[in-house]
Amino acid sequence: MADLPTPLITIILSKLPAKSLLRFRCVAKSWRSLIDEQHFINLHLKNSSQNPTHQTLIIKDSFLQKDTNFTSKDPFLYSLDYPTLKRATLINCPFDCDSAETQIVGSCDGLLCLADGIAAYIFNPATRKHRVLPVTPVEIPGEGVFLNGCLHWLVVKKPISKAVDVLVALDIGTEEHRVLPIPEYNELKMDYYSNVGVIYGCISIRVFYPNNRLDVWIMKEYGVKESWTKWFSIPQRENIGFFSCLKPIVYLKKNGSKELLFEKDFKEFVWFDVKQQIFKDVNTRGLPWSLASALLVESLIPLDSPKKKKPVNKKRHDLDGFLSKGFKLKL
Amino acid sequence: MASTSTSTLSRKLILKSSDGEKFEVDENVAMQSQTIKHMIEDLDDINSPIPVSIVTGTILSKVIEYCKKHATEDSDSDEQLKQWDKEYANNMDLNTLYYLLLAANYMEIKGLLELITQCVADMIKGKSPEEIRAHFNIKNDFTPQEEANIRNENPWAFEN
Repeated sequence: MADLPTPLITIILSKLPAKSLLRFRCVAKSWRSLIDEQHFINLHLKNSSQNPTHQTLIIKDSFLQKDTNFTSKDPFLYSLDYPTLKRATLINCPFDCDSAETQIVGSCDGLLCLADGIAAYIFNPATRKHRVLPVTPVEIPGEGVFLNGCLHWLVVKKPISKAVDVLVALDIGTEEHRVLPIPEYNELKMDYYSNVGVIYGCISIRVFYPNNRLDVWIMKEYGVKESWTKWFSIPQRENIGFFSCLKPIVYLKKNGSKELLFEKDFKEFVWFDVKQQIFKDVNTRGLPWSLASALLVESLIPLDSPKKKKPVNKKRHDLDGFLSKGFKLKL
Repeated sequence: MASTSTSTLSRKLILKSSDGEKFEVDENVAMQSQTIKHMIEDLDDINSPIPVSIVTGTILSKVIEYCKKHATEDSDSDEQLKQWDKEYANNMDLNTLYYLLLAANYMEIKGLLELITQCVADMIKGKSPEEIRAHFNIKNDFTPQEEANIRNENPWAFEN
């Protein structure tokens, strides 16, 4: 193939997997500059988020615990090919963290946030680059869900006895928060567990009524109360058997079918055919015994450390010193 | 011109390739190309051939084949159309793809450009930097040391 104009080269490269692009940086100087450009990185991210084969399920082994036979250095992260879900393979974490304590805190734009109580780690598995952040002194109400530049939490308004969920959005840019409307799912006077997530680019709330069913709601138009729709309801036992947790991971349209991937009971994955309302088992090899997962798009977003003076030591006394120098991470 | 046929449904246009070949096509087929659409708007007489200056007859016939398929939206489902696209692109050799890409770019046919760029991306994603240079006729302007340094930044990207 003879010379192609740069705009066409740009379009073609923006449709490649991250690994190919990291390899093609050494084709020529012009290619390296193009691939490293912020504009190109954004274009590539946009294309990848529309291409299921450029997405990966990141699995965290939740079975590793203190006082078991595991050491804190054991590998604990896996990547699982999506949407085929054939085999989980271990990821060699390029940073040192306590495997047993590490949690997936959140993810966006191909970046994964992990924290082990001592430090937080931003990790891009597609480039294998990372950055260590000091833990914020601000208490946060658990894992936030990222959409539209805001982190979202579903919190309970006190007093607990009259529990009413409140959906809070914190704008990362302006650091302002607001309360978003939620559907009326607590009218049944039944006990329930509710969680917020993002499905198909929409805020979603799943409500689990133990021994009864799971309802999945989505807010089709961001911030619009009337747009809350009960997407579907999955009765306990009927066609999936008993479950204690069904977490929607991702919605996939392909070959005319519409399927939703669930993480079931922290153990396995199941596809739910939305049209036919049936579940399909997934046989994945190499999954840990107990897991947590997040779907991550491939991206080239760089995570270079701002300074390379000395490596950040994550031991607590060093961290205190670090914080006392006036460096505080704000959420 | 003597022709008085003005029915929008049956209006025909004549496209003329760079090597002089003429193709008579329905207006809605030709209008898939933004470039031609704009040309028609500026044209007083649509009965004279419209020059598609950088595209040869061989390539233009393939472009028209694509546009015809995509102009009749009613008959096929999205899935059937995707399947057709796939077979259409798979039947091209690399050289044809290259000229088709230039044609889709020049004629501003968004769907075709999308299809061919994805097809080329799928073809090259597993290739080595050396193969890419040969494919795209690119000169390696790194010194051996510079290239080695870049490879060392992500050595795993060079493993299978």
